[in-house]
Amino acid sequence: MGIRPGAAFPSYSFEFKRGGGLSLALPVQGVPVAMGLLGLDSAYGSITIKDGFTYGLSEDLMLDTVLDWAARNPRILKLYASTNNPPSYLRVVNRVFLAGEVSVFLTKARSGSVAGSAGLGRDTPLFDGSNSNAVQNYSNLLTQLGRLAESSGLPGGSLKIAAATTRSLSLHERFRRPLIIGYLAMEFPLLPDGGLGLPFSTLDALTKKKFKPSPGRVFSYDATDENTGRLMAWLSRKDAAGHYPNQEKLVEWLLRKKFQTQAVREVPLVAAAPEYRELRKQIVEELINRE
Amino acid sequence: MADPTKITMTDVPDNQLENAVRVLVNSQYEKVTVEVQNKKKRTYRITAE
Repeated sequence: MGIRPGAAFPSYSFEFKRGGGLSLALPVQGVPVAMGLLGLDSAYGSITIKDGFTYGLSEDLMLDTVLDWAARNPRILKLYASTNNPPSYLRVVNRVFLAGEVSVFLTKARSGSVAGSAGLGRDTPLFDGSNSNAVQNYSNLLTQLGRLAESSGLPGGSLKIAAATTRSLSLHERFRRPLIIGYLAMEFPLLPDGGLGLPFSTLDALTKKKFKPSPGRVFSYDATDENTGRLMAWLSRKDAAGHYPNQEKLVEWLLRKKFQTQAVREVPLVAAAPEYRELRKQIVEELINRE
Repeated sequence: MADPTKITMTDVPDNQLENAVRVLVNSQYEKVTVEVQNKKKRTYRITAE
């Protein structure tokens, strides 16, 4: 796979009681196998993620790519947009974290249940240094335990027992294929017109962290331009039927002049934002002064 | 990147408040919120979404 960008993760611990379920966060087959080998009813354990690496794109590049794609495919996005609250979201994963191997350390939980177990309550080393064949014996034992573990039905991957005592077991488990154990992503609200709203972090959404909503596009009312007041008053003029026909007239005019974006949602900006002063002057001359 | 579904107009003078709200309401925005921005200057901030 060549040189992969490495990633490191903190190890974590867990506690297991038979009948109480096992929540490991990762599908580590070695834990139940080790529990069986040691004949444990309850245990403490820790898992260290090894051979971690990551693939991804920078948020800038991903944003560009997604926005380009969304601009070309509004019909597809429109299919998934919700017309009610809450809106639907598009989740874009821009980085994944993978693990090739984990190390598991399991130790028997100290409890009253082992008190009468004829010496097994103590941590008895399986490595007996007083024996001249100690190294060979211990190595053979680990090999046999390893065979037992392998025969316990681990699809694909491999299990290797690293150390064992009567109370604890340490093993390495290699996954058949690297396992994705985490990701970074962002959420895009799907707008009813097939567009994408402002993205925000998936982590914030999942952890229900409150994020301050964006005020959207902010602009200051251009009171120094006399055309602002004139255009506002003209747009707000009601006809005999109680309608506001001038807003429609302005939209038609903008479309005719190829101001597509401004015609769709930016009429208030055209009417009052300082950046549209020149366009406003043109509108006043062509639409208001000629009435 | 600004939220394309929202627009905020600031420094709206008192005598243009009604017209500004009318223009925003007529521009397909469903919810328009008015806040006093500066009590002394009598200006308002209008958010439409």
